[in-house]
Amino acid sequence: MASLEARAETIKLARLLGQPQENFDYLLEQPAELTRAFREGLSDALFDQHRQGFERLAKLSGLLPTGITATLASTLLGATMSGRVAGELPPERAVKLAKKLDVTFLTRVCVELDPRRAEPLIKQMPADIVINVGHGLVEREDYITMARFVGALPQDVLEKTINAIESDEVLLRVGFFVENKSQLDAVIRILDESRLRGVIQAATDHDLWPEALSLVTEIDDDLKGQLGDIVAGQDEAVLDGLADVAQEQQLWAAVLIAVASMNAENQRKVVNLPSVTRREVLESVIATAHSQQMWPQLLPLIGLMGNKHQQTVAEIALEQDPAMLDSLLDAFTGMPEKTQTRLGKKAAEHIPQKTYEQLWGIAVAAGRQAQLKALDDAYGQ
Amino acid sequence: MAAASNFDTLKQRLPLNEDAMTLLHSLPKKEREKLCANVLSAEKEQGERVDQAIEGAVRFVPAPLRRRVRKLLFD
Repeated sequence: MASLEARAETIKLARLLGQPQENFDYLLEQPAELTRAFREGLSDALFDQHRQGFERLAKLSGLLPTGITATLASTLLGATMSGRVAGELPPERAVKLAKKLDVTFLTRVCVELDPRRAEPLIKQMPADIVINVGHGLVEREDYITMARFVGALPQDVLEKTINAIESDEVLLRVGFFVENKSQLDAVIRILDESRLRGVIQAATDHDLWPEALSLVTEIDDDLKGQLGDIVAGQDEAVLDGLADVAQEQQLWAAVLIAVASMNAENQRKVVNLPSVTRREVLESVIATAHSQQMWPQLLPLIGLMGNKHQQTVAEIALEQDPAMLDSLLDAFTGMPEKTQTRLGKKAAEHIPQKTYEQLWGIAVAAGRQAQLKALDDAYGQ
Repeated sequence: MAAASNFDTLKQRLPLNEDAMTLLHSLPKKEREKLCANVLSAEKEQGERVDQAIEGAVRFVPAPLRRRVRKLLFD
């Protein structure tokens, strides 16, 4: 299944080439970053190819009264060409011109504008125009274009624009498409606790958990913790729904990151949910921890599970191939000694001696028995 | 003589940076040709639209000044 990122990049490329997006369906299976690099390089090349023409149009517009230039833009040039020329105008003139244009046309120009090239103009655009265009983009459900402008807007205008968007669902969808994920932090820090709760609720109401989880994985640790705890505060039915989506779409890496950032009480709640402790789910979680090198995130969470579930985890781990057990041992021995001792004691409390002996046998076969000292001590060996 | 592929034509007409080329190299030939054809068509169309836009825009200049404006833009 094509990733949402790949779909977004394909849409952006189709727009750049002025073609229907279905003409590029063959790109949906390509990594999104390849399509993005292609689009950005192509946008630059197309611009450079006709740079002289855009510069002439910009110069010509400087010779005409602003009102006439506005008519010229909306009647003769159209949104695509206006979007290309806009970046070549002195920002002050572009702002004057924007004030003369109607919002519907400005919104269409905005879709065509390359924020990388038009950043000086965007930075000077008055907040009221940006907000109106933002509403226009919301009406068009064009979250991709909105997201492209997040990094180019000054913080105060970004804040006013975000506060003017009433729908939490829109915020979540826009956040997902933000290209430079470091800019997400700036957006999320603008939102107060109730708005963040609304965004998480929107994930449930509109089946947007993949988008919400993708946000959680990209942001700063303190925000991860804040959002993670809001997620954990949802009803059990909501969390079960999240677990189902994670299992269906194999989103456990993102879930592990989110859970690892929660407070201990919430972690305990989540890792002991019936939907999370099903055997097939635990198998997926363990496979993810192995393939994504996420044992350091998973091991402490296993320590918070009830004894029956810990035993299931141990049984599953013992059924895996030696490479996986090797990586588990690597993660275990890579933890601080104190943590190893604590987890060892937990294991000894809940996991039967027989399971420990099986693990020890595997470690001996791998010549790594010395690394099980914390477990040996806990089991009194 | 065999006609040049769209990929070869694109490389000549619209040089792309190395990062952008990675996608083209990773696509099967048929899809790469299709994508290059789309790009070449968009490039051609953009050129025509720029020329038409300049011609059209000059007509917004009062007639007595057009020659001077053309000189200013194109010299």
